[in-house]
Amino acid sequence: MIQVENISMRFRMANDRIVSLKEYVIARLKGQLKYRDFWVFQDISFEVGKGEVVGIIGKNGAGKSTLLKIIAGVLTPTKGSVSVQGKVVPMLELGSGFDMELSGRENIFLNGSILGYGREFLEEHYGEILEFSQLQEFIDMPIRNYSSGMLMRLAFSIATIVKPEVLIVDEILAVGDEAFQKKSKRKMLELMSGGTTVLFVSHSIEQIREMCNRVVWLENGKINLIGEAKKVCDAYQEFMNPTVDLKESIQERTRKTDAEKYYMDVLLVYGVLGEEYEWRVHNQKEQLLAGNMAAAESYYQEITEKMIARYRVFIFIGCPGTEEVISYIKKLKAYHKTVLIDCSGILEWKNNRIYRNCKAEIHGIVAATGLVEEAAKKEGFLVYRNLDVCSDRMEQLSEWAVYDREILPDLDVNQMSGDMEVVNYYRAVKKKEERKNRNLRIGCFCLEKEMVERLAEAVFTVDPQAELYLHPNLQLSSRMERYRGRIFYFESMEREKLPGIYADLDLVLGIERECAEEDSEKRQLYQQWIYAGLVKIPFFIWVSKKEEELIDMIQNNRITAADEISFYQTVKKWYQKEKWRKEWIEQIFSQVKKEVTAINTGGRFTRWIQKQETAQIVFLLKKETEKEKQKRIFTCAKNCWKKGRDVLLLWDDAVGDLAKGTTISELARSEVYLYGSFDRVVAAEWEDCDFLRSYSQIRIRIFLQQEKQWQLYASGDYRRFQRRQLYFSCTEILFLVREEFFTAHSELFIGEYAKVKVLPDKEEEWDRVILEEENLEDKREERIIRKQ
Amino acid sequence: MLKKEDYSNEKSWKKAGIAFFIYLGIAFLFYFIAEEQITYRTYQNESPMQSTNIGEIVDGDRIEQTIFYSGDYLSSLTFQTATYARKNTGTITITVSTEPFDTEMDSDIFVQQTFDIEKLEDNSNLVVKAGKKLESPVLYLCITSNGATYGNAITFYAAQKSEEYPSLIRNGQAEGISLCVGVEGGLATFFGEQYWKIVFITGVILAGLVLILFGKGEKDRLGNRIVFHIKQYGFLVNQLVKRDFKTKYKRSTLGFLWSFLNPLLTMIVQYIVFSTIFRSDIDNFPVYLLSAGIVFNFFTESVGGGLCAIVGNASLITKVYVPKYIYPFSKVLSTAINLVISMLPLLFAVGITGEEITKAFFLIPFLFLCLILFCVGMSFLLSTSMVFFRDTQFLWGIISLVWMYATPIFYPESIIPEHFSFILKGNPMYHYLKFFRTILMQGVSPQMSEYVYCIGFALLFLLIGAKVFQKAQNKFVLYL
Repeated sequence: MIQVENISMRFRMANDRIVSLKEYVIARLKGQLKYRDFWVFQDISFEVGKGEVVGIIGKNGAGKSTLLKIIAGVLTPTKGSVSVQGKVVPMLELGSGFDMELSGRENIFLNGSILGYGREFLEEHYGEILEFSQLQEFIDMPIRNYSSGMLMRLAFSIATIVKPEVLIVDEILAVGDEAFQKKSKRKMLELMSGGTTVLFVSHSIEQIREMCNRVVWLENGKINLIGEAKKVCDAYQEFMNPTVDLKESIQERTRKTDAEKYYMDVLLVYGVLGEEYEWRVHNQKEQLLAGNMAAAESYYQEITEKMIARYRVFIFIGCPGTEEVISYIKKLKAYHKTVLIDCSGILEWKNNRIYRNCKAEIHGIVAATGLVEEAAKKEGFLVYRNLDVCSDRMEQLSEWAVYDREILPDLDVNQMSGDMEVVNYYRAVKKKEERKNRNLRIGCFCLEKEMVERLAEAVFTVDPQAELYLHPNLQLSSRMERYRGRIFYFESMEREKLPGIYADLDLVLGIERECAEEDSEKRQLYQQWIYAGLVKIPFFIWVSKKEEELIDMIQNNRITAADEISFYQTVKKWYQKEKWRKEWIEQIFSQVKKEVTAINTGGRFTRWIQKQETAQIVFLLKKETEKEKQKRIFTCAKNCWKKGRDVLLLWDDAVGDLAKGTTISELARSEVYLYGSFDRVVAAEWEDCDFLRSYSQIRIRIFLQQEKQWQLYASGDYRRFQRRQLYFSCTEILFLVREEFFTAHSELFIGEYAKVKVLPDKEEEWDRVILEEENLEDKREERIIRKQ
Repeated sequence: MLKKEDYSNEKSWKKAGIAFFIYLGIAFLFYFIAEEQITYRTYQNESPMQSTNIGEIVDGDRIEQTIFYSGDYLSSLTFQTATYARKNTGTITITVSTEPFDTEMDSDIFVQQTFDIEKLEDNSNLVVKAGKKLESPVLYLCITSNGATYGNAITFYAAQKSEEYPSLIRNGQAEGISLCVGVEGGLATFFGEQYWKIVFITGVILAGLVLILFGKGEKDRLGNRIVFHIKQYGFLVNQLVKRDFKTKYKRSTLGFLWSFLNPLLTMIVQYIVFSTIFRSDIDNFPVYLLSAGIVFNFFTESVGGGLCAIVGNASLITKVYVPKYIYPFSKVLSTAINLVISMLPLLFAVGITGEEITKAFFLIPFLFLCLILFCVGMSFLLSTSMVFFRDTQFLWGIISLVWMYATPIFYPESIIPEHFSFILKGNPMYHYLKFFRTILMQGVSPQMSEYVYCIGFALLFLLIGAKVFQKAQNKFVLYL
């Protein structure tokens, strides 16, 4: 239909554009008539078959419109030839050739004739044009009175009334109001589907993607890519919004600014060196060196004027957002240096004080995850992906990032309070995804034969594909034979294997008989598991005669169904009165302590834990624990973590003492999610808490009961803490203070980073306040669970 | 880009036949209108320089004069009269015969015409129109008067007799002087003699050309291309012309009445200026002036419009493919409508001033055709130049002014000295004006040579313009 053969287009630009005869003659006589040739494109060939819709994309000035004009016959190519079979209707610009003085009717004929329609044709289709343009009332009015929208409507209606063999369209789909736009788009689609060959230029890549079969991508006067619409559009988009490769871009810049020097000097500036940061610095340095770039590292405190002059790119890793650092960055900007900040997670980045204070000064973000990358691009930053941080945790984040758009299309990053939350959310969704692909697994620990059989019948009526897992000791009657293949038995009901078993199930119906008996050991154990969040089961039917227990389960979202929930109100009162929680924690402590001991005795438990894929594990550190044991616990916890399990580390006042030992620094550098009651930790010496700066997820509650403590903080300890606190981008500090101790003076040193909650006078009510605080935290978790 | 069209089923023979017969029809019509100018080339005997007069011619006088005239055709005889600057009465009868007046046999009379001397002005000419083929080289004139008495009669100017101009005989007496008589007529031309043969041969050639140019199957043949263009773009030209015409008088109260009023009012002003302030002795000055005004106005207006046609339609040219020649062409055509409309006030003036409307008026379309072609050629040339050098439009203002003065619009052509006659000869507008005026004021077809000039200039300029335009048109877009 259209053959474009080796066309080249040259624009001649005289050195000074000569527009008058005199100048021309003079220049000619002097022999100064020089031209600068500008080739819009050279040697372009392609073919368009009948009925194809071909889009042309490219940057501004890539020659898209010129190409269209050549095909439309408006321009003649300098070289090469174009042949078009069939009637061409060019819609390069709508309404060219309208005469403002004439009426709409007259213009229909005038414009129509310019587009090459005959008189009979126009007379025949006049009504159709009128109807499409919806200008019936205005048609005999001079069009100078028309609004621009009306003009465009008229123009579009005239241009598309014919069913041309070749239609050439240049960015004209945005015509008129929304309704008309829809209409015109429909019309275009109708034309396209009707066998019209269409050439289409648009800056809206979405439009091109939607409407075209094939796409021609012009770049630097050549066809960069031609082919299937999706392929070319993807390539083009990638090209237009590139993920900048730091190495390349730095090299590129070096080449541009200083051709002699092949490499460019990068200074990695860090503020603290936790294991993670150390790793990042190391990793990035290695990558830079591999890319032939000189890289040095330095603490931000050590940066001198000389260094500022020496280096060109500064990457800030884990630097605090202090005045000092900010002033450095501002200075660097003034020296035209490139400043990047290193972020592992999106929240880390957004809460980063450097980012907050120096938005304008920093050039880009070294991102570890796709999520950060996406968000940073949205804010207009360069994103360097090459310097990935490859710690275990980061790998997971990256994994998530790969899946982000496919699995989590609705994820709203801003709703998440931390990267871990995102990871958890992702895992939950992934698990759900997995569950979809297998049969429903129902567990039943009950040993009462009749009950189980009734249950099984009910289950299989509802879902014949379900898998029912039963207690190994249960003997079923022969009528259950027909469910062969659907009924399985747990391998063992050994205590330590239970979390794994639970985690694999979708639904648990009833519990082991043993557990039904209140105060039995096993029951308590289950409760503990559940409370500790080790077992997260979507549906759990908990048989219990204890109202409090039920309510508690529900209240904490540990289970989602119970058989007797009508006691809710009464139990709630009890719940508020009793200090039940403390007891539970005590129980868990004692239980886990037993398990930790197991490490000593033969390591069975350790191995088991390490084998499991899904369990969440609680570790407990106690003051009394021996140092050797601590070490082992830690190794275990760390390994578990690396395997991708959530590790909950519970500790008590032990930390304060342990911090002095060598073991605790190991503890600090492991990638463990910390959760603790910190009231006593804070009371300890601050020096001992240096390790805390590796963590971003700590919530600290300072419980001030005595005036003495308050004075301690006021004397400077807290200030020191406050400074360190800057390192923890996500840390929350909450002071719980008795009113009598809360003075105007206190407010001064609390500063902007901590919150203060005043405790009521009566000591009995303190718990309520504390509970309220805790509930706030719980609500966050709830949110995640709800999403699941 | 051309639409594939099948020309083979069109009968080219039929086309050739039709073209041939149309051509024959035109040839017949032309012969009917301009037989005289076709057949004869102007040949005239100058009247001798007047030195005396023959005295009053009264009732009963009979003045005979022999004239030698070797032309093959006699169109008119011009006598110079004087009235003694008084009111005379009676009539004068002039009889022309090819035989001597031996007898008073009417059969010999070649032409006879009677003039009412009451209406004669002093020193005016008496023209005897003959319009007849002449066989003998000798003419015998006889002047008689009726009702004139001494003191109440006119006289004729005369010169001393010579060999060429024999003596007149007054009432049988040779007086030694010869009447001042100018004889106008024509010599038979080869073209005139062979007119039908030439017409026929040309017709055959034309038919042949049609066969070749409109040959079947081949869309690239010139003729077929022309037909295609007319089919394809005729409507567009039509619309563009309509647009120009409509917008020209849009929002003016009188609208297209201005097409009448404009030339008329201009003529009146010019007439007042030139007939009172700069007196000139041109016959029927209003028509002389108005005809030139209309034609020259058309020329400047259409070329001025065509000049800007490309630049003015830049937005269109850069957006839609339409053959670019259409823009200047349609501009000239739209001005031509004005030209046709302004014929009405002209005819009105012709009527008022007592000129006859003769069959020669049918030749006006030919003139207009030539004019339009000429202006299209000029427009092509200038619009091309305009694209590259925008100075053109200002230059054109000056040139058209010079051109106007170099063309006898309000002065008689006789004031141009002989050795500057090239100014006239080389000026196409002069020829167009002359052609026009001959038709309007003399009521006859112009000489054949004028036809050649008119069509020649038109084709020459059209050809040059088209060639230049065609060569440059691809670059237009780059300079707009």
